[in-house]
Amino acid sequence: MASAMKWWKERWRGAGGGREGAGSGSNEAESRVIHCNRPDLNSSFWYASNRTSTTKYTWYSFLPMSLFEQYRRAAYWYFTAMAILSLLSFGPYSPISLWLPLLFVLALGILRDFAEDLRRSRGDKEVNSRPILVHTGGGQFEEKQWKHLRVGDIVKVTDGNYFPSDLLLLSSSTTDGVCYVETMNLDGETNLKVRQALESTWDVGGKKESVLENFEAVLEYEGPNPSLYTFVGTLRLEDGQTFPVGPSQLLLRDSSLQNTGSILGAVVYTGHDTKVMQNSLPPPSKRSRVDHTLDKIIWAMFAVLLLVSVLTAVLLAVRTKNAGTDPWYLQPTIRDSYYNPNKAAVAGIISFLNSLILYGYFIPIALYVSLEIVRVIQARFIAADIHMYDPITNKAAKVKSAGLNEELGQVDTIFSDKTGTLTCNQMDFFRVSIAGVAYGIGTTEVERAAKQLGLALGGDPSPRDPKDNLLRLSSDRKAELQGSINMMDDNNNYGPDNNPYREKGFNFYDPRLLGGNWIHEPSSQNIQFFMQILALCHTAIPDGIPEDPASMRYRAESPDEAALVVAAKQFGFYFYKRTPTMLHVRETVSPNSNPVDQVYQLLNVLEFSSARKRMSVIVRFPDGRLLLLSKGADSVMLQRVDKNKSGFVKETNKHLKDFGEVGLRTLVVAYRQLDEEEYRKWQAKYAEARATVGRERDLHIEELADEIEQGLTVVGGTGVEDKLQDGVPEAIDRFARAGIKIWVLTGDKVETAINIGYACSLLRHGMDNLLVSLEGPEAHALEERATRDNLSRDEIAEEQKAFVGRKLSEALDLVLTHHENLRESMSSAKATVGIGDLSDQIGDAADYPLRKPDQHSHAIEYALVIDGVEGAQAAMAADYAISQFRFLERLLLVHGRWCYRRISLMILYFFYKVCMLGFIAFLCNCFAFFSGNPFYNDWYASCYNTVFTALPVCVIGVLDQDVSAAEALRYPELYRSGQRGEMFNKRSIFGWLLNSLYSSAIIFFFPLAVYSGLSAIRPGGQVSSIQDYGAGMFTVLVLVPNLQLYMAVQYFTWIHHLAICASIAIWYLFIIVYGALPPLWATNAYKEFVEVLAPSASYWLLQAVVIVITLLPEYLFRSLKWALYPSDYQIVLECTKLERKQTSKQQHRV
Amino acid sequence: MNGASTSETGVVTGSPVKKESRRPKYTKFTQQELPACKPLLTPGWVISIFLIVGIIFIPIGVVSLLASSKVVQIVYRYDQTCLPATARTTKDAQLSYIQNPGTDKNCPVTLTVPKQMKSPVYVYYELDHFYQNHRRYVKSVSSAQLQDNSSSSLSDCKPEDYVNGLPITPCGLIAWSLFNDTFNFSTVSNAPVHVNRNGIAWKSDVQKKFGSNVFPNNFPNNNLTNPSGIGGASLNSSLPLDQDEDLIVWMRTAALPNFRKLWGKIEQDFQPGDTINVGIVNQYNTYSFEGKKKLVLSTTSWLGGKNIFMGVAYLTIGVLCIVLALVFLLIHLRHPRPLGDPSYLSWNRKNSHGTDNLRS
Repeated sequence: MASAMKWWKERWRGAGGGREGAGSGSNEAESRVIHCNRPDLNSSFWYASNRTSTTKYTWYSFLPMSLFEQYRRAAYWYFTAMAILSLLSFGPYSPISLWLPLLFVLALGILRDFAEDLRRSRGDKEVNSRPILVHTGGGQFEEKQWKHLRVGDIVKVTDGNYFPSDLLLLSSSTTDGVCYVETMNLDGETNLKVRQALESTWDVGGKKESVLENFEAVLEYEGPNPSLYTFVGTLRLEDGQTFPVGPSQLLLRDSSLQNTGSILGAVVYTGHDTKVMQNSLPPPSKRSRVDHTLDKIIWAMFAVLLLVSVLTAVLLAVRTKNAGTDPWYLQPTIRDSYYNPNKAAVAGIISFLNSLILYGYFIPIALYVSLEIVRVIQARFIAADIHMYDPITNKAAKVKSAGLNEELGQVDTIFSDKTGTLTCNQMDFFRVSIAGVAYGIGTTEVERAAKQLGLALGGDPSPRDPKDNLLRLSSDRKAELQGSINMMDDNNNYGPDNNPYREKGFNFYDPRLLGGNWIHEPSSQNIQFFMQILALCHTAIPDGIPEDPASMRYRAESPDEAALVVAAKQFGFYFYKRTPTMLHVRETVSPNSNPVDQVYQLLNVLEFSSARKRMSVIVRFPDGRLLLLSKGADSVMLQRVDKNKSGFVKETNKHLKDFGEVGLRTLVVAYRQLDEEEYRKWQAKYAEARATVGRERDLHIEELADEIEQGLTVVGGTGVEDKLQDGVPEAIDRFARAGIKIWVLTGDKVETAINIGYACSLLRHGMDNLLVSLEGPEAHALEERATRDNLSRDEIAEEQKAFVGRKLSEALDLVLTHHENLRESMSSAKATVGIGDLSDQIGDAADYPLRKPDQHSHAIEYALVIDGVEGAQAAMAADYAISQFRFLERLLLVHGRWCYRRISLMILYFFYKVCMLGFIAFLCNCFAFFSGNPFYNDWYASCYNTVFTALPVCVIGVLDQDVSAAEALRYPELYRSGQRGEMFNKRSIFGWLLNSLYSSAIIFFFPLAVYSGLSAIRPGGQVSSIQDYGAGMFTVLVLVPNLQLYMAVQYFTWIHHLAICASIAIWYLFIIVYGALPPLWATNAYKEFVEVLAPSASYWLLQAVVIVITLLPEYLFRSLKWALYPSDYQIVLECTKLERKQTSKQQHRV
Repeated sequence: MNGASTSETGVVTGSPVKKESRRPKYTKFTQQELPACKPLLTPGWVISIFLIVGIIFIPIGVVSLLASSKVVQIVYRYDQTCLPATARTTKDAQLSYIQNPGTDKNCPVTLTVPKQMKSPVYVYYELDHFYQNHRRYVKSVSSAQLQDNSSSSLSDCKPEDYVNGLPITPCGLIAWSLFNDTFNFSTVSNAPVHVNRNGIAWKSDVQKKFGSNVFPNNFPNNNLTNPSGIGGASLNSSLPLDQDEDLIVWMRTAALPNFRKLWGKIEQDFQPGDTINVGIVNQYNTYSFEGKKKLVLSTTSWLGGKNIFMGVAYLTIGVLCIVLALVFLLIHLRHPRPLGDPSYLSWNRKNSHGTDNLRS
């Protein structure tokens, strides 16, 4: 069915969007040849138009497709089959009473689809009609709408605007064809990326209009594909020259142009062929465990239904046969297939079909729709929670998969990324080690946490106390500085916590360096050089007015990098302008001298990559020196140090270790003086390597970079702090109390990771730390094998992962043998939340560690994204998106818990009430010869689920709270009941069904005793007939489930009362209004209430007694449980009440 | 499916105008902080609720029982006694007696009044094993025909829809099987006791469901040679349906196979010891399905006829609630649990037993 669905969808989309389908479907593998600037030549290709459509349906496919979508729920097929059966003459109910509810729920579902699609279509319309300048010949541009773009068109995009389709960059308003792009919507990265056009097309769109007018080129390139980072093609210009083009010339749709006046580009992929559209993920369709259980219950109900139907059929057949011609009033001698004592089997089969409809209430038709509506409202509530709104990013929580709401209440493992998830990903320059001296006297969060916990960090009394720091200075400098610090202290109270130099990316405080004081340090030369390296060795792009250093922002690949550039600025080396070949730095060498603008010639950039863990630039200083400036992780940098001229390796290494221990991210800063000749040779090779095309290229470049990044001299190192987000330790602490296991993924050094673990209360006193490391004989053996077998890097990574996984499992087994409890909890670990920027990362984290202890290998059930600044795209793929880690506690402990309780209650209650009607239908049949004649009016029954009892249960599903949000957060342990699945398990299902069975028996027999037809029900002597019994019985059947809610929950707002009372009132209203219709419409309900029931005292007395006796066992059970075995939440409620009492008493006393 | 990304991110980021705050609005409703009643099932509440229910229910039970006990009813089963001795032995004999139009069906019976019966005394007949709720039976009627003869098709009435190709009025099994025993009441002195046969049906039935211009027509029971066999009563062709209250009462089918139907009202008092002579014409066939036939004379109370059920139910529950209140009182005294004692929380209990939580 699914594949058919897909096929249909593609068909419909293809037809709906004009020619869109033609391009996207067929050309996947084929390459394309287009003529830039010659739209007339391209039209023959039938490439997709640039109109995008994210709607599921078109206006004409909507009804059938949406209907089809509704029928994906198997139960609907059943209901439809029943409705069709009811058209046949043997149906027990009038067909319309079955069709109407079915049509109602179908219409509701379709309406919801319609609203969603309408919203999407509005979004599409807005996007499709955005304006774009398109070259229309003669060097003139004309404004067109996005959707009218065609492959091969030349378009002009101006600063700050989005690219309308995937473009090949031809030229930019800068002279060298460079432009900057922000790809936040694609990969969530906020840094700017550089794209550069081929030199041969730089002139296009320049001052001379004729160039653009006559520009023509043939572009051959690969067909549409979802890979965001690859692009292969060749551009043949008019003069016959061909050039390779690649990703650095490709501008992707959904990214925007930044810091560049305007660019010209040729359209290469349009509409649904664009990378982003090809790459877009289907909306997540995951189902919760409660949903799966629900399916099972439905099947069980179906089995019950079949059983009861077969039973009825057999009993009817037997009784019909036995009765023979005795009941003459049935005219048994005149036979038809429905009633024929000689062919009882036929009657039995027909009775079976009839029973399927009669007892059809066992399958609740309204449940699916109700659940969907309730979940959507729950999602609204989550999104509307003011406590999950982050004013900094201006984002509230987002819910993409409302179907998983209740799963949030059952999470028992969290997989989390560290950077950006637990931390702000806001790096502040915090400590620095230059020429063997450590600077920076602030206290890191980790240190603070350690102090609180009384932990010793490392073995070394590292410069933690600023006074301590000062003691180790030479005595004369000390006196001088003491004075300046004291002066600061006395007059301005300056200090690490009141830092006048503080700005984004800079939280460094040390009077020895700040305010130009560094000039007085003994190694001021080294400091100056260190700062120059910080100002030069990076790929950041300045964004601001060069004359105003305070306003300057740096667009860097990572926030650490920006922090270093900011630090250089603060120390007087103000990087303010970047061109592809020049770096402009305004240097203030002493506080009294004027700043000097220096221009450094940038020769090469050896870029950072996660594999290289370092980046370098080759720069020619104004004084002619040729230097390789480098910064990187100590693990890679220290291997490359020149043995003879190592610089301050020892000291720096020690300081960086200290920095790491206090939770800072560290980098080694080093340089190498290059030999002119050597560089020239290297440069030639490097240029060649850069010019090559294909996969070899990256490898070559990396090798060459490796070649020149040798023999480094260490100048110093930096420590950057990535602050924990607000409330992280508290949140983690609550998760721990809630019994949620947390896995954090980090690339930090082990010491850093452990200390941060303590800082965020992930690790605590009394825990055994198990270290599994890739350093050790086994791991080395692995590496050796890898080199021997010549494995690729990916393969090595796989092996390493497997290795760590194995080690972890062993470690866990070790633990498990000692803690049987833990093993249990691990093997029951089912629900997990992954948090992070990208789901594949979560996959990595989730993949192996759990496999061994938990043989079922539950992968991540769903992804949750902490979506702060980054990750718009990631948020798309997420089921839930929140902006801060601490919101997770509210999402899980409050909303998740509530939703789990609400959905569970709702489903249980639904089955309770539908079973009641089902059982009653069966009981009726038992007293009616199993002939399939219900005692009540069809309409009572078909309104039972959809009208009389529908509203209150939805109110419960939306509003119920056992404990308030504050209580849920105050007692996180309450969450464990969800992990144990206490609300929705076999016991609770069985309990509710038992209650249903009991109630239905009471509801059937008690009215029967009064309306038996054997005694008068009124002083007027009238005895009751079938319709009197039916209406009387149905009255209590409506009352009981509605009032049952007062037993089932503990929380009543005016909405609850209103819903329950309204439902009951609607029943009375219904029976009055329906009974007032002409008799042919009202049939046996005609004036039933007004004339027969209402005036009789027994009718009202009956209601009271039935209600009390049906609710009594539940009330008794709950009271007993509350008195003897109270649930946690009940105690919590009592505590709150007690506290309130006490406070009011105190106030009273005061 | 494709690219929810474009529309959504596009809309959000596409227009770099002013940034509106997306802070959700605060209302008690959206923040789920509505004032709510959270009843705690503390012992005090539980005990008082049980007490209150008990105190209300017991008197109602007593009053209901009293009402039922005041009702005087005489039940006389006559299906066997009204058979001649020869016809009682076998089912075949019973059938041949009852199905033979020539046999004498008159059956005089004498009833003695046990207690004073105040007017009105209601007369019922009671049948047994008669499935008026059988699907084939219940459906076999045409409401439209009964109301104003307007039904276009009588197919619902099968198998009693047409006789010799002519439409039957009233059609269907229900009408066809109309009860036709009759009762004739007189006192010892042979003074006739008047039985009011009017006003025994519900007004709405008489006024709306049965038409005043619908007359019995081609009714099979009126023609003893009809091919579908003997049914129940014959109908007076000149009496419109809305005046035939016997038919109207009969056609309001009963819920259970054992039922009574109102036959008439005797609007005079009977004193204890009075005897009433009843001339029964025993002609309705319940012998085929071994159904009993009873004649019932009964007075009513404000609650209706004789039925101790309601009283017993109320009294039982009332007493039960009082007992439960006492039980809870006992439990509370035996195992008093202080309100809001945190040591009862599951995690606190666990820790006290030495089993640590999962995170150690």
